[in-house]
Amino acid sequence: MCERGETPRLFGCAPGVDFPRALVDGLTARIGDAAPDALARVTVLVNTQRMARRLQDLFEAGPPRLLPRIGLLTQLDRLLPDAPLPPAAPALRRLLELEPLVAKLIEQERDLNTRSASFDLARSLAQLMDEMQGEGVSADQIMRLDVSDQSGHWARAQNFFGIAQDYIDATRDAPDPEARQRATVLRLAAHWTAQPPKHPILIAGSTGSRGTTQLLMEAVARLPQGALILPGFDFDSPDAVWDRLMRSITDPDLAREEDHPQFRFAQMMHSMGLRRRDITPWSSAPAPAPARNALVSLALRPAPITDAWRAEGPVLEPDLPDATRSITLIEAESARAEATAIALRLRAAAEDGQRAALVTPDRMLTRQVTAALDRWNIRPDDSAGVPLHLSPPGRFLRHVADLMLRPLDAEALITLLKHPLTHSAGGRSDHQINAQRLELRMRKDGMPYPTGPLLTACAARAAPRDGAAMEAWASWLAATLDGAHDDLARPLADWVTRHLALAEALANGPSPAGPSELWQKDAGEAALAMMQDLAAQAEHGGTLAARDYGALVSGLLAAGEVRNPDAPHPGIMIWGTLEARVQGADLVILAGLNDGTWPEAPPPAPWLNRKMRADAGLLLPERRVGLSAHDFQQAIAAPEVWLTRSIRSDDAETVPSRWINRLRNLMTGLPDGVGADCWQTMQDRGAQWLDHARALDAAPDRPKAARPSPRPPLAARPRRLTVTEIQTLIRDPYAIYAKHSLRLRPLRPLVPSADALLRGILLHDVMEHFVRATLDDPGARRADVLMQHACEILAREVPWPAARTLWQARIARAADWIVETEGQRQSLGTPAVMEADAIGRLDLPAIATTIEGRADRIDLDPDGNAILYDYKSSAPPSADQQKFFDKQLLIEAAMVEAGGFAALGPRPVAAAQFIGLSGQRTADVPLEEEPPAKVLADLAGLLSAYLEPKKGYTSRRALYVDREARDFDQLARFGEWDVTDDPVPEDLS
Amino acid sequence: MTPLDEATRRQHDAARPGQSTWLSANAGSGKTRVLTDRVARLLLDGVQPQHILCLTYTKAAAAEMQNRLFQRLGAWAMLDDAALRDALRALGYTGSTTDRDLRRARTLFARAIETPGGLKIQTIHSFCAALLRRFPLEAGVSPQFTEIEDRAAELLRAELLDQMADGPDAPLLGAFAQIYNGDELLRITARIFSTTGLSVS
Repeated sequence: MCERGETPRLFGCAPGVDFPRALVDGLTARIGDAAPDALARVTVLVNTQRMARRLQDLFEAGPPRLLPRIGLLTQLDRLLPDAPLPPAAPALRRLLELEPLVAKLIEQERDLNTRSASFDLARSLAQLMDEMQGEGVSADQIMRLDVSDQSGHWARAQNFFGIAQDYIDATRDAPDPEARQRATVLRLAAHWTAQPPKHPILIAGSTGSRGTTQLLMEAVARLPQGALILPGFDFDSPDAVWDRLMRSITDPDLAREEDHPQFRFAQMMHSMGLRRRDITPWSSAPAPAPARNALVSLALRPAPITDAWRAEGPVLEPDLPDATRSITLIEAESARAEATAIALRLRAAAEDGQRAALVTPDRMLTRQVTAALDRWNIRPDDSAGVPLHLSPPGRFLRHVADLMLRPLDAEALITLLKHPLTHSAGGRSDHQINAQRLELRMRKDGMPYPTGPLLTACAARAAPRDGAAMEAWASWLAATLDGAHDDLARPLADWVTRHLALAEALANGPSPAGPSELWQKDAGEAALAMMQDLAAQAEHGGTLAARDYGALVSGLLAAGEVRNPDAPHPGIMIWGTLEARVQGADLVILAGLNDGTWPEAPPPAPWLNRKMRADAGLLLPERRVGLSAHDFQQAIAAPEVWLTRSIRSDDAETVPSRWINRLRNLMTGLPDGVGADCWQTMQDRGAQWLDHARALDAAPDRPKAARPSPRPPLAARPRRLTVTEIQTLIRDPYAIYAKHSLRLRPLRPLVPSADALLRGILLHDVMEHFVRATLDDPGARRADVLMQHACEILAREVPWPAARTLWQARIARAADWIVETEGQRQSLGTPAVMEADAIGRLDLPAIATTIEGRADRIDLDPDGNAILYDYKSSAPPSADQQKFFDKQLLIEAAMVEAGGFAALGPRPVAAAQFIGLSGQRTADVPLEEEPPAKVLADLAGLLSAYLEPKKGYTSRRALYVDREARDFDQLARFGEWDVTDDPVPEDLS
Repeated sequence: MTPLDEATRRQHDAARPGQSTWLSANAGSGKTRVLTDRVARLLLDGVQPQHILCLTYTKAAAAEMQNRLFQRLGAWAMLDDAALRDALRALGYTGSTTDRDLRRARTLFARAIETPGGLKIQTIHSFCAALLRRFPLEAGVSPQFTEIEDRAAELLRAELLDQMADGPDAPLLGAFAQIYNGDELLRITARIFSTTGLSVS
């Protein structure tokens, strides 16, 4: 079929041509009416599985015939005349074997402080080795580079290359995939030179981006019946451009045009001694938008000859309306708006039965679009699937690995308990109930670091009525989690075993009724395969800490992917940029067209800089850019095209992708203004969709809530309040309504923090223990005794070591002052009741209301008069605050006089005082100005006011600090109003 | 040629690439413009774009400068000879403007957007991060490191403090707590970390 013409033989398909279809058509046309077995003698090698599948589909859809052999470029064993090379060693094994070598080197090098990065360094070295083998560059070649460097950096780097070379030498028998592929290609080429095959061999769809592939392509192109069919070949570029590209390879004064989309082809032509005219179209299929191809070709000219824009642009100008007729340009305010607009367009495509593909390297954007499409129940066919580490088993395995990494904390525990795979082998609903009860109790009690005994005790408190079942569950949990945390360095195999055992135990639950869900479905199977692979390779690894093991597993999971199990929409696709080559969509959306996203920013290259890479013959970062540019050139050639980008990222404006920048600059700068008009029209089309997107996302402007002042029926109003609630009733009555009428309680944070509330409670405890001790033994009124109590209580009640240290120091600073003033207090009176039994009660029969309160401490003076004290961990309130808001001690004094403290009976109150512990300051209560009778009358007045049906419980009536966050702010919808708004009463029934 | 007004003349001076300049001016008075002009003039003088480093403090400033530079160079690419000569002169450029020079000026746009490794108009932070990534062994970091988020750093500092309070350094922390007045240690540790350049790994 390729009888005529010289070798090497190269064909091309223009950008935008449906490549697999053109391939089939061209092949069929060339076979003509040859014998039926002619086609079957053809071998077609393609670059991706997806391309192979599409070819297969197209052939099968055609007339019945013998089909050609379709294979992948990476699977060449079949073509070899003799036994293939031994299978490649898995990449994981190499990583595991390299890591101990790297770690050892780091240990030997005194001035290196990178022990914890040995895995990352090994991974990065492995990548470099991949590249070296793919390009046929040896470590020797790199080490011989002429580098003038006095800093020792190069010498150090050379040590690492030494590791790489030793390793490659030592693994010749089991080479890694890149080395094996190269060796296979070399053998194949040698074999073909000796015995050229008579049947046709075609390589289709590859750009020869890697050195090995290019070797193979060159060998095939020179076969008597061999040919290359290049995807996205730019037939519009004039000879001068090709000459320039090729000259940049040989001319040392010119920079290689690696970032030009057609550079790989130019390099191929150069090494085969071909000119542009030697490359002909493979099939007669025209590009969908020839005028656009010409425009893009001009826009993407090599930088040094972009002065051609002014010369050649005006020639194209009349065709621009045609070239851009089917382009829409979306320049969205945000990535979210971009995603919404794309989703809208995809939805329209689904409705019209148009085949549409979203092409972008930005996985975050594709996830946003997928989420937006979900509202119409459209599941796009995402070629990348879900990364395994984000799938349920992936997340579960990472949570479990975290358990080994650090002591169990409340957050990690609840995260795990709520994971759908936990306890998934039967009895899951009981597990959920138990977990919920445990969580509520943990929130109530506060348990930042749960341990086995704490867990079982907490579970017992959590379900007093359902004790036995809960207890069994809790002891299973405690036993399973016991000893999970481990900070020893262990052999990798040990870690894998422990990890798997722990994961399966947690997934199985105490009495599994069958297999758990952990390894079920696609994601579970993929995760299991990955873990089994790791277990199989584990013997090659060194010893490592839990942290490194966790990072290793996360990395392996992140590299895996799971196909979305739901049947996707057949016509709505999401493609990576490489897959865009397969083509076949009516509408292609090129998204995320910002600098750094597409093309992607070059990855960090720690070992060699750009010049060294160029000198050694390794890949330059520009090659990736060139390949991306080629992907772009093909994608933008589709029948209908959307170009989208967001003009802002989270924190700054974005820089448009270089190709968009070029296109805009060329079009908008043309002399006749046609280009600028076309650009405007493209933008206008986009703006319309952005308007739709805005309309879709717009939330109707609802009226704002008013400041609430609910008036519940009298029966629902509280008749029993605590002394401290009186202040709340004055400052924030709504909180009283929420607590007593609605019976709501704030849920405390899962991980309690060392907050002021706890500090206050503990200071009270310390004082009580200390004072009690001094009563038994007046000699104990010493600072060291006080500190002894403080240390004991803090050690028991404060699980945060740093906070404990700080609080202890705080009490220590005040210790002398406390002891001294305690002496004064005990000279005035004797402590009679303290917090535990100092509960007082005040009945107000006239309004059928009871006030209860707990006094910190009441002393009696020699005359039998009471002296009230209250310990404050913060500053004591001023006299005015006490008069109008903080009436706690005033009310307690009135309680004492009215006989509210049963242990004391009615007595006169001589004095009352706040003791500010950390401020080391006391404040007397203004008993003369506010005598008990007045306090009682005021209190009765206040309470009875709230028993009037027309009195509402206003939110945030008179707070001390206006910014203070209150528990019920969200319920009150604070923020929609502010305190300058008048409260709006609402009668409730 | 009309005489330049004083402000424009001084902007030209500041944009002269041959001399070091300390520029301080009011907001909105054109500092970014002077900076972009200076970069444009360096490029006109034949400096390779990858040999220019512009550091800014914020991402917003870096992106804005880049976009403005591309706009300016992009306009040159499409101007005819007379207009381009005017544009170069308006920049304060006094070098030669032969046809060859003009052709070259027109290609600066594409050369700049395709600077190998990206045009280095970036924040101090990203510049430093790139340095560390290039020399992970010397810096003692992983080549794959990521910058820590504020919240994560806070949690890490809290963890370190707790480890300290529970370990052999407990007396040290205790002694510090004796003289420390604040409510919590995290605020002071954040300051210690930010002023001493200590890093957590």
